[in-house]
Amino acid sequence: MKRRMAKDTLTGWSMKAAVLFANLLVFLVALGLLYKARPILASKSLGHLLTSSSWHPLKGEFGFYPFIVGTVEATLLSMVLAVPMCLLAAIYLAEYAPRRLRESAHIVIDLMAGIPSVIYGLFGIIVVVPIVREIGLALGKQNTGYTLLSGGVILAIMVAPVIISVTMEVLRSVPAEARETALALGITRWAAIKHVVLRHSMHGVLSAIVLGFARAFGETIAVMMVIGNVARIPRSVFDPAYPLPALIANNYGEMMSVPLYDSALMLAALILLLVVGGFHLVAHVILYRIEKRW
Amino acid sequence: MIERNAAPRKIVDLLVKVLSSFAALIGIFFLGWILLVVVQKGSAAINWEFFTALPAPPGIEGGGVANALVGTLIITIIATVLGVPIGALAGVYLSEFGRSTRFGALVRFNINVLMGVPSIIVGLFVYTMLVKPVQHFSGYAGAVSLAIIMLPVVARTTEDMLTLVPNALRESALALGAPRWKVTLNVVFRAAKSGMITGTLLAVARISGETAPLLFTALNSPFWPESLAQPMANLTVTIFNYAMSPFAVWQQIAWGASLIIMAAVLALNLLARVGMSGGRK
Repeated sequence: MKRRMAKDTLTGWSMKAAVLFANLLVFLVALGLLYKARPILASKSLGHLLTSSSWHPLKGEFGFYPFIVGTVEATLLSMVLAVPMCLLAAIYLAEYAPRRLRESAHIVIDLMAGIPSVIYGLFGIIVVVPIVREIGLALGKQNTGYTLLSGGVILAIMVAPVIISVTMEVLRSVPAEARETALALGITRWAAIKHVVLRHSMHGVLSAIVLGFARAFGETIAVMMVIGNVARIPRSVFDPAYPLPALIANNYGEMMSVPLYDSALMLAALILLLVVGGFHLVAHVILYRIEKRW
Repeated sequence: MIERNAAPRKIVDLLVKVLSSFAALIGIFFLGWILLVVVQKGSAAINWEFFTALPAPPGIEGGGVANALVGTLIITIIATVLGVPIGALAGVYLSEFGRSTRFGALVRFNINVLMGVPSIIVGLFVYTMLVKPVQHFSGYAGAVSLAIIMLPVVARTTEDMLTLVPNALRESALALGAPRWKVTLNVVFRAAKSGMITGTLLAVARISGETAPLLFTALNSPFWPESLAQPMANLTVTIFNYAMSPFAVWQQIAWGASLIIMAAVLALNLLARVGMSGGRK
């Protein structure tokens, strides 16, 4: 009996340890990055680092502004491209499509979400970049195709599964009675969607967009393969840009040798983590509330 | 509604239906396009040498990715061995002990956030912990970073699957006097077995395509993997390096490797899906 009780306590403890570890991991990562970023924060003010455009690691100048602009613009561009399409697609799949189609849509969404980002990048190089270059040239813009627009298009394709699947889930969580009551009044399907379903799930749809935004914001490999990686503030979508994650990934070889360089990259990662983590926080708080409501 | 005529509203309804189905089609269109390009370009690169030879120096015809195949397998297996037990234990805790507690909600929340942390940050974190102190890249650092990425995925799916197990099963086992751990291990696990295998498959699929965290940890290598303490060849970083190189031969190999990875990831996903529908029944 005693042995069995001991085993019970033991498994209890190992589970608690695992859960605590999983729980603390996010904070551990953030603290580790903050600790490593201290040298650069001690040498320059955070405000200066964030607003300066001068990036010359060898001279000790680390201005993050172009990278922050690059990340934000690429992400916003992808949202502009993806959100309307994804919401429409989700509305169709959740509201109009027959059940069987909806179920097979899940497979397509899973497959799209499962394709590794390096393959999206490769697809971007071979398909998106040449098309963007042709469009740019047709519009009279000199460009190489490795531009903000290419990055935005690739990101839009990559965030689509996230936005569509979360939106679908939120729309389906609206009780059937609400929908049927409206339809029973004799209004059209779209009117029921607009006035009942979407009104109920506004917050959830918003959180789907926020999750997509966070996904795009932190995406590294695919973007850096197509966006050009030039540390200048882009003046149009046909200019190259240089997002933060690409900055980190491109410099893994050099950061051991140049003083303060690795510290600067840790700060870049910390900024990235705080932004993405913050967005996730917001999205999950909203989703959690919705789950509790029904 | 002041408007009496139903026709305009019906037209709008039809318009939305057509537009939205069109939007859904675009998604399938892109998936099809990507699959097509990868299969078309990749199948041209795949031959016997591709699977058996080491990479050739730049500009020389031939060469393969045998070392990267082995390396990816090793890294993925070690990551699975490290990540799955911890993730599964955390999932069990959430489902069996912390289902409606405040602490459980907090953990669930944190695990969701952890799932969203960009993988490159995980890579950088492991770099500062396991690579920087010893001053060289290593296979085990790569495995640890993938394990961290895997952990929340496994925890979430385990919890989901265990929640599906009916409470009556647990209660009848407890009523027989079985201790909690035994109930979990012998009753709940058994009932949720296929679901948990599914979760693991999905997590493996998720990490086997990761590139960014491996850049800082396992790096890559043109040689056979000999020791876990050395930089280790792997498919995804190989794809990345070769795709960005100016050599046509290397680019072709990148396509071949992409086809292999994509086929593996898609197969795992489909397998998991089959397992899932089996588990739900």
